Amino acid sequence: MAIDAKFMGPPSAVGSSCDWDGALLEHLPVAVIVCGADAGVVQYNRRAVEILGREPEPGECFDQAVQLLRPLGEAGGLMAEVARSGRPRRDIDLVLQQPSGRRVHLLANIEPAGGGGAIGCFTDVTACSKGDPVRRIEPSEKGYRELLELLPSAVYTTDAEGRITFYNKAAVELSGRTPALGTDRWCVTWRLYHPDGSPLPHDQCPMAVALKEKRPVRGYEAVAERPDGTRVPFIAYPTPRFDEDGELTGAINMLVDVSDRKRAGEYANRLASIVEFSDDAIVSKDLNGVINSWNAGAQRLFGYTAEEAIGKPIYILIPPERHNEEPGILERIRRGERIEHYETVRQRKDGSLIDISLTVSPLKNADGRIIGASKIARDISDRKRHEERRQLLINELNHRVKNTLASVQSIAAQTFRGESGYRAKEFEERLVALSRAHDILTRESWQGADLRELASEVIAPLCVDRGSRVDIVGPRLRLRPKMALSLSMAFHELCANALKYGALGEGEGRVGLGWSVQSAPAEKKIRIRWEERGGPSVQPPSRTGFGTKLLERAVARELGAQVQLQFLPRGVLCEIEAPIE
Amino acid sequence: MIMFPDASAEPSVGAPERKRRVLIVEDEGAIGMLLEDMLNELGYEVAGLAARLAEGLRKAETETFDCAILDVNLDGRPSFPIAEALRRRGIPFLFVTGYGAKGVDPNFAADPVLAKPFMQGELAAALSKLL
Repeated sequence: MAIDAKFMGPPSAVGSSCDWDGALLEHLPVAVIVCGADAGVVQYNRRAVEILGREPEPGECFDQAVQLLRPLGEAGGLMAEVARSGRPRRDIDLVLQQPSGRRVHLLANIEPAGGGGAIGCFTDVTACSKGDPVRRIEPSEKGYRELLELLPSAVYTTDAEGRITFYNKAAVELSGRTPALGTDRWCVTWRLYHPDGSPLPHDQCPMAVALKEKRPVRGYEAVAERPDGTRVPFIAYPTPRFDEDGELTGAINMLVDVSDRKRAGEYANRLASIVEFSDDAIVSKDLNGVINSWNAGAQRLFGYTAEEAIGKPIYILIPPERHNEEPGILERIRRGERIEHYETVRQRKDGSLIDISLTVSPLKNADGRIIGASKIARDISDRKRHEERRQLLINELNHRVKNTLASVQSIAAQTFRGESGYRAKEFEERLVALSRAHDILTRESWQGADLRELASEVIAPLCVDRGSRVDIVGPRLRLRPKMALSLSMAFHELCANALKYGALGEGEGRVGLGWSVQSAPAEKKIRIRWEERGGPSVQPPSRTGFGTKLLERAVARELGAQVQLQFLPRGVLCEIEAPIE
Repeated sequence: MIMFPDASAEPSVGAPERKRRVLIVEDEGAIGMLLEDMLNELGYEVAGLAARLAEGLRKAETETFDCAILDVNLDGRPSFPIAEALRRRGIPFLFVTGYGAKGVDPNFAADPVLAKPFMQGELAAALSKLL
């Protein structure tokens, strides 16, 4: 169908110059408007005049001729769009306002016409549906109220003056009170505040604004105070309601409690603040090792800004010789493991190396799936330097002490020259035993020593070929330095005696050295037992030697111990019971 | 005197016909003296005693001896240059030190170390392994 570009007027004026049957158009129960390629109205029927509320002007564009209220954004373009695109628009809900102010609700179907025009067919549905498709699907008033009651959010309605006409249970819960229908105005709440804590008068609340300005208000946040003093942050969504004539009839408001969201937001902000201001470097990465967050501590420690680091592989921080560490770390993270206080070395932007302690934890998404890892790196350079310096000092002190002991050994050797070789040798052995205990403690930075290691190191030099005849049995136990030194001297004396007179001399005798720990309520004690067997028959000594004195007096006194030394015919039995804490 | 079972350098048991000559490098006079006495008792001949790095280095490079005993710290200076010189000449040596094995340069990790103070038997065992 070709459309004459000339304004044709209503069908009665169309006459024979139009292909349309004017009478047919005139009798149609729907409004028909035909426009040309330029969207100018070229033909219409009387029903069209009724819905427009006036006669179109000659050459007037349809979309200028009507004041469309709905759909928003369509005004000024419906007929023109179909004319331009050649694509139909069907079953469109339209609300237009006539020059008199009357609103008309229409169902529109616009078809493209050959030659670049459009034919619009508009059905007036105001009477049957009040023009509001939403209203058409609304339940009955009773059902509507029941529906609102079931909503988990606070909902209430007002009349045009803002008086409360309805509220649901959630509204009572949120406001902490039962609103007075027909009396309370604007809002169901008791008191209102702005988010900054300043009072918000009820007649300025979002609902009051919506009613006074006849427009929806969206997303305004406020705080409701209940009569019991508790406060609830919420977001209001008031929407004014109009009758078919466009008159304001009231409004409906929904108040969304955002306490949880706010708490979660505040918590997230606090965490973010802690992360941001932490002295430690806190970095997150995905499972491919790509950095996706970077705090100020990381910038201070590694020298990269967040912009430089985010999106880069974590390898930018790892010295090449340590690249093999990362796959293992990622594998453990994928398994959900946490890596704590892993001491390693990382590389700064300027290439310098830094000692760090690293803690790596899996990062999970809301579904609990591991999506990456958080890394907390602490600079331990100072601690490392301190430890190295302390070790250096201990080593130096040890060196000097050992030289001094060796000098004492030399002096003693000169002093004992010409006397019994046994005397000189006994002295030398005691000195060396003391030195061995010193060595063990030095290795442990004088923090303590392991009892088994101590016993082995004292006994081994004395029993070069007889060590296998000493059975050492006992749990692992760390001794404080003083106890380690005392027991090393005690073991030395017992071992030297066994070599000279007892089970470790000629023959097949053996020694059992064992200990156990007893945890009494009052104190923890160690019981040590040295028992010789299978050696020559033992005679009690005729005089109290140095070894006996050391055990029964010096060791007992130093350790607060009970020492029982018995020279039994089958062999020496020595029992030491001492508190260990 | 009780001798340790592995003190095989004891002169009366399997001693070599010619006394082995040992260079001592030790800055502590008393310890040097102790080493001299021990070596004599064990049947060795002291080839010389140096207390400073330069003197020790000169003796290590020029004098004739079978092995050397080197204190690691010579008045604050490590004796490793002397060890290098001995290694070049193929002369065996052992360290004596108050630092223990950890106080020795990694280049000499395979060389024997005797911790101070040591017993005569330990010195004897170390020397017999060395020679």
